[in-house]
Amino acid sequence: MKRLAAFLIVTLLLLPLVVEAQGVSPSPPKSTPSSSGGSSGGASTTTSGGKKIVKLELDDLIGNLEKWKQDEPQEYEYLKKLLHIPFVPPKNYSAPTVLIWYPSEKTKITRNDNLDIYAYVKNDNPIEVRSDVYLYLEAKGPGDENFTRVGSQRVILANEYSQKSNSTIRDWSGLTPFVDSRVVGNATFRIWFNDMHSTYLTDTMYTRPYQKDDYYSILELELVNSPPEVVGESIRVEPARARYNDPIRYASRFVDADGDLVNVTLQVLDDQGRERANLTQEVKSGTNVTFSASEYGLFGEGDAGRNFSYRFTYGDGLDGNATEIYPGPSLLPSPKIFVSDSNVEAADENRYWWQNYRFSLKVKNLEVDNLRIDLYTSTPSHPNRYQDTRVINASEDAQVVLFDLRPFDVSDADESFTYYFKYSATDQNSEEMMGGTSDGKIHPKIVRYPIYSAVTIGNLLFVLLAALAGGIVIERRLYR
Amino acid sequence: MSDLNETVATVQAVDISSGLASEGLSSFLAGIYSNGLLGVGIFIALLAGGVLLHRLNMDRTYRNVAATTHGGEVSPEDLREEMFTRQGSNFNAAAVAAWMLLFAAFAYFYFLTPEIFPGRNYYLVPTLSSGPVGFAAFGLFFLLLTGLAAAFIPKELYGYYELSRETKVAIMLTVPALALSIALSVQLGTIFPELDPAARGLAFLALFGSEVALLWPVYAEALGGIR
Repeated sequence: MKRLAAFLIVTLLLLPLVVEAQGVSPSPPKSTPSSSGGSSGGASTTTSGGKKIVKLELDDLIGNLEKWKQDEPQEYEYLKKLLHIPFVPPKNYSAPTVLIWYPSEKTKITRNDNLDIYAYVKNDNPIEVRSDVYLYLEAKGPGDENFTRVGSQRVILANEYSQKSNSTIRDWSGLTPFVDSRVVGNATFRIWFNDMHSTYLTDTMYTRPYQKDDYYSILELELVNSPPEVVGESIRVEPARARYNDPIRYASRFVDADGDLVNVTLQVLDDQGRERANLTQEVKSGTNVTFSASEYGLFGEGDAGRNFSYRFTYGDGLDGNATEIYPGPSLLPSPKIFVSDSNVEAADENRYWWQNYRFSLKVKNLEVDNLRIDLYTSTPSHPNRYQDTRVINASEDAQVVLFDLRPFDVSDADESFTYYFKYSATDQNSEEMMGGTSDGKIHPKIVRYPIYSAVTIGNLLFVLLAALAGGIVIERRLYR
Repeated sequence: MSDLNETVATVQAVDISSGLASEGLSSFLAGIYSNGLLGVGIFIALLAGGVLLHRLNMDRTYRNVAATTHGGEVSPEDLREEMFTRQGSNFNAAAVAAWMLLFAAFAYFYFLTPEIFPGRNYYLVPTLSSGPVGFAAFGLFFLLLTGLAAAFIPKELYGYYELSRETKVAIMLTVPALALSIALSVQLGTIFPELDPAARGLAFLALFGSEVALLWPVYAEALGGIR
C-alpha cells in the first residue's frame, strides 16, 4: 500500500520532469496498450480536456529513480525531502500505558522455572483514534549486555480493550528464558511495543521506574542455582575385586534441586594416581549413572593385579563439584599356582590342645620360586594366630606342604577352630589364601598331666614343702 | 524260718534307711561345696567368728582377773604378757604351715577349675596353666599372698589358751588333711571337665574340718566361758 501511494504521489508531482525525461529512460521501451497509440519510451500520452497527459509505467519510474539516485544524488536527496510528509498523530492521542504484570512473589528463579509474565496495556484513546499495538517481551540475563526478545509477538487491536477499563492483558506463559544460562545474577524484563506511531520501551518510557503491587515498568528477578549433590551411598564399583575382564560397573546418583541436567564425569585413576580414563554422561537429576568398564574398554589383560581408584566430578553447568577418591576395583592377578586338598589332622583322635596337629596343602607351583606359605589358625581365644611359614620353589610336580606343630593352648580347649594358608602368589581362584574348618572341637580336658605323673606330684610336693619350710622359717624368726 | 525272714527284713530296712541317709547327706554336702559363694561365705564366717570370739575370750578373762584383784590395777597388756604361753617349736612350725596350707587349699578348692567360679580361675591364665609348673606356681602364689596372716595367727590364737595334747595333735594333723585336700583339688583339675563328686566332697570336708580344728581352741574356750 505504501509503495502504491508513493507511486501515485510521485506520478502526479513529477509529471513535468517525467515529460522532459522522455527518451532518456534507461528502461527498454515496452509495448503497452494506449488510448491514443502515440506513445514512445514506455510512456503513453492521452488528451483529456485539451490537456496532454503522459502516463508512466511503474518500471520506468523506478528505473529513473535508481538512475537519479546514482547519477544525481544531491537532487535525489532534495527530491526525497520534497516528497517526505511526516506522520502526525491525531490530536489528543496519547500513547497507551504498558506495564509488566508479574503475579508471583517468587523473585529468585532458577533456570528451569516456568515464568508466567503478562503485559498489562491500558489505552484511554477513543476507539476511532486507537491504533494497533505490537508487543514483545524482552529479557536480559546475568552477564548479558543487551536485551533479547523472548516469546513471540503479541498484538492488540483497537477493539480488544475492555470497554469498562480500557485495558487488556497479553501473556507470555511458561517461559524459560535462561535455561542455557551459564551464570547467575540479575535477570531483567521489559516490554517493547509499537502503537503505529512510535516505539516504546517500558524501562525508559516512564520518567522513573514504576512498581506497584504486581505491576512493573521493569521487572528485576534474581537467577539462582542449587548445585547438584551426590547421593553418598550410591557411589560404588562392583565388584570391587574382580578379574580385568569381569563386568565391572561404576555406579552413582546425583540430585539437583533445580531439576537441572547433571553432567557426570567418571575419572579412573591407576595405582600411581594418574588419570586412566575420563568418561562423561549427562543425566537427569536423581537417575542412576552407570559406566560399564567393558563398554568403554577400561581394563586390559596388562592391568591384572593392579589396584585402581576413581572419583566422579559433577555439575549442572553453573556449579560443579567432585567426590573424594574411592578405591576400586582391585584387579585380580593372573593365577600363578594351583592349590587343593587343604587338610588338618590331630596327632591322635582325642584332639587334646597340647597335641601336635598336622596341617597340609597340595600346591602345584610351576613358576614361582620362594613361594611363601603361612599358616594361621583361629579360635575364639586366639583369632588369626600366625603359626609358621614354609617356602617352596617352582616344580613340575605337585608338592604337599606340611606343618606339624602344636598350635593351641589351654584356653582353646573345648573350642572349634579354623585354619587357613596364606600364600604369596595368586591361585586358580584368584585368591591368595585357602582354609578350612576343623571337623570337631578340641578336647575339653585342660590339664595334660595326670595326678600320678611326676610333674603333678612334683608340683604338689613343692607346695607342701614350701608351706612346711615357711612354717619353720617363720617359727624361727618370729616365735623365739 | 519266720525269724529268719524277720531278720532279713530288718536288715533290709536298716540298709535302705542307712542308704537314704547317706544319699541325703551326700546331696546336702554337694549342695554346699558346689555353691561357691556359700562355701566362701562359710570359710570367712568361721574365720571372722574365731577372731571375734578370741577378743571376747580375752576381754572376759581380763574382767575376771580384774574382779579378783579387789581394786588392784592390772592392765590388759600386762595380763596378755602374763597369759602368753609358748607352745613348742614343732607345734608352732606345724601350726604356721597348717594356716598357710589352709589358705592354699581354699584357693585350690575354689579357684583352680572353672567348675565353681567360671569367670575367676587358674585356667584363665593359659600361659601358666599350660606349663608344667602351673600348679606349683598357683600354690606358691597363694602361700606368699597369705603368708603374713598365717605367720601371726597361730601366735595370737594359740599363745593364750591351754591346749591339750589331743588338741595339739588335731591341729598338727591338719597339715596332712590340708595336703590331702590340695591333692584332691589338683586331681579334680587334672580330670576336668570330668567330675569326681566323691573327691570334691572329701576335699571339702578336709578343708573345712581343718579350718574348724585350727580354730577349735577359740571356740572351745568361748563355749566353756558361756557354760
